[in-house]
Amino acid sequence: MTTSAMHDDHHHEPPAGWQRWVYSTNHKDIGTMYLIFALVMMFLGGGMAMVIRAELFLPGLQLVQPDLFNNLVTNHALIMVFGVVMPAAAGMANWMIPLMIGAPDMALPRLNNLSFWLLPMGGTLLVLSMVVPFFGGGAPVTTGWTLYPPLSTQAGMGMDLLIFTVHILGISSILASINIIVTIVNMRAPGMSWMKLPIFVWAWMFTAILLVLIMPVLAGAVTMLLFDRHMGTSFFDAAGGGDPVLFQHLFWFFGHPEVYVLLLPSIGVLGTVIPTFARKPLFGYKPLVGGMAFLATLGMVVWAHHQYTVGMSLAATKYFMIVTILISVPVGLMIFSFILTMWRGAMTFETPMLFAIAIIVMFSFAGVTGVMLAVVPADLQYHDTYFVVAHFHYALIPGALFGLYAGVFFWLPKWTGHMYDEKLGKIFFWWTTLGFNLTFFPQHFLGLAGMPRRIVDYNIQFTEFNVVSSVGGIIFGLSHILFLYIIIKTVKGGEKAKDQSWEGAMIGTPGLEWTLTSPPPHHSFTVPPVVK
Amino acid sequence: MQSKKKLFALIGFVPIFMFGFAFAMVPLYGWYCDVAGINNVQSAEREPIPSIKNIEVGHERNIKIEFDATLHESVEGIVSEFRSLTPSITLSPGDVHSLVYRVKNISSNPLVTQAVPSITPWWGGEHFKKIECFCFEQQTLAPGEEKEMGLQFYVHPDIPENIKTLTLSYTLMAASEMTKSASL
Repeated sequence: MTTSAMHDDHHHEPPAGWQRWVYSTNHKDIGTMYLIFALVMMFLGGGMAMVIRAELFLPGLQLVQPDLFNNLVTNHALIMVFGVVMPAAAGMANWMIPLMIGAPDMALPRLNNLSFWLLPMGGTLLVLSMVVPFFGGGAPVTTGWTLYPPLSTQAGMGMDLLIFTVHILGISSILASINIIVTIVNMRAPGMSWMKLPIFVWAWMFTAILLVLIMPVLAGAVTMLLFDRHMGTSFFDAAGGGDPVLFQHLFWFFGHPEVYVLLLPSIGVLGTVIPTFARKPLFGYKPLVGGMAFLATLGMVVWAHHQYTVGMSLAATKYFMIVTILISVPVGLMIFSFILTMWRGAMTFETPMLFAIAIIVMFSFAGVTGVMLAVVPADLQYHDTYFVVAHFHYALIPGALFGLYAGVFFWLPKWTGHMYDEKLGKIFFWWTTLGFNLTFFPQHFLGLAGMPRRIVDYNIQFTEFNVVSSVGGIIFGLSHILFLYIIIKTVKGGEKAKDQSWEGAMIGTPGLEWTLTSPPPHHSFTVPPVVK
Repeated sequence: MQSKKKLFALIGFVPIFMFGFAFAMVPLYGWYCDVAGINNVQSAEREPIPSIKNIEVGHERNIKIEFDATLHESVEGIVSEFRSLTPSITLSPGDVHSLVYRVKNISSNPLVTQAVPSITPWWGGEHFKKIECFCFEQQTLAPGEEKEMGLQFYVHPDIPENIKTLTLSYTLMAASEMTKSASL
């Protein structure tokens, strides 16, 4: 058999049926599976949020018992972080990075298959951890997503399943990240130099580096938790000479950079969407890349601002306060970079652009409350109140989720070969933005008035804002049925998308995806393109 | 192809290292906190809590304490017999002494009272130390109840030489009167 025959052998069409997906090593198929997984988990995590908001509609206990409420809060967070935002961003990376840099596939396709198929396994373990308390598995996990001991060492079997969930999902995202780094370093088309890389690729480069650094630390921390629970060790047990605060340090050493893991892919999408619809090259490409590097570095050394109230010394809190406030410098640089890209541009307002502009406004708002929370004396007041809840939902829903929505609408024509229904897209944008703000804006006031988070009941003085918040929550939740409908409608048919789906797509530092057909062939760039 | 695998192996070491780093933090964290003194809020930066010195009883001089009692107009005709069972005593500074005030509610309604102290001369006041006093809390009297209310105190030896007599005067008032004046 000649080499050329073997070569041709790789290019047959994918096997039909389930084998195509389970055995897939194709970056497009795996990307699609990542995105579908994220969508399914979003409805699961969103459903939990709906139960939480329904319970908080009025004071008193209506729907769920306190333990179940706190369990829902815990799993809502874990699902949204590990099951929705990270897989959706990884799905986009899988789809887009090889297309953007002119690679035939990811660098390590079999590893890619493993990274994806670990996810449903982790997801199943996570759901099981919620279910076992109902079948004699001990107390449910009520710690919140931070899993702090000693509460987490006392929880029932659900906690062990959750620890394994973290292990599995951690391995999945570490492998995916290594794959992405190797792809970006090794698989760029001739002429695709570092400073010509699309900004989305850069954003994922930093995300992947962060993930490789931080996920193992979380895995280590929960492993110690597992040892404390079953092996009689005392890593976090003061009675045995351990220190529960050590867990907090380890968790947030992972947890704070994790925020940038969620944020950076969306920043990459913004850096792609805004030049396209402003029809101007990205303002300050190099500073933006540098800013992301600075943000990723800074993100590694600010973790203890989540623990101001734990009793650190003045010197330590002072250091963490100053570096935390310093974060507003690279983030501000990004925001200005985007605003100046739009400045005097020939702007049009398609759905991805609407999301991009809304993100700039609402994410900046989260930045401002973030600076408030960074200030130690103020934070001692806000700590563990709904002000924090409002802050991080303003950071993560616009900063991460809406960025991914913008990406979905931006690349749906490329993925499916059909234009989505622009009118429905705009309705979805306004509907979801209204619902989001109605849900989370009043929570700032609740927090400032002292309503604590992670508590099933509240004082009657908080009723009115909670009613508004719950009504907003239902509006926000229902809008996603329209989102699902738009996606299904676009997959099934619609106006044929051009190869270059957007007029301004080739402006600035574009990816090579627009040089391919829409949808791209199953095997693309089998001959490396040359970038001039 | 070779460089792909090399790079994979190279980056693969990072998570393994970081997993170990998490465990290395267990001893390192304790060591770092000790060296830098940053996890020890009590000893590192706070002012030391002043220790309570034992007070020398000064037998070389005596001070006379007079106990006075006055009824505020809000309890006139409701309370009778508000007085100290000991009109005055003479003691050495540093001696702890206890005594009792008696009060009687002669009305047919329950009454909540508050006693407000006053010391003459005023510059002796800061050296008159109450350990326990019925004036620390509001006192509730059932209809017709007669009650004995305790006071425990000492005079600090730092009291100026020129003070030979201290007068402690209590004014008893209805607690409702207190809230009224507080809201004014």
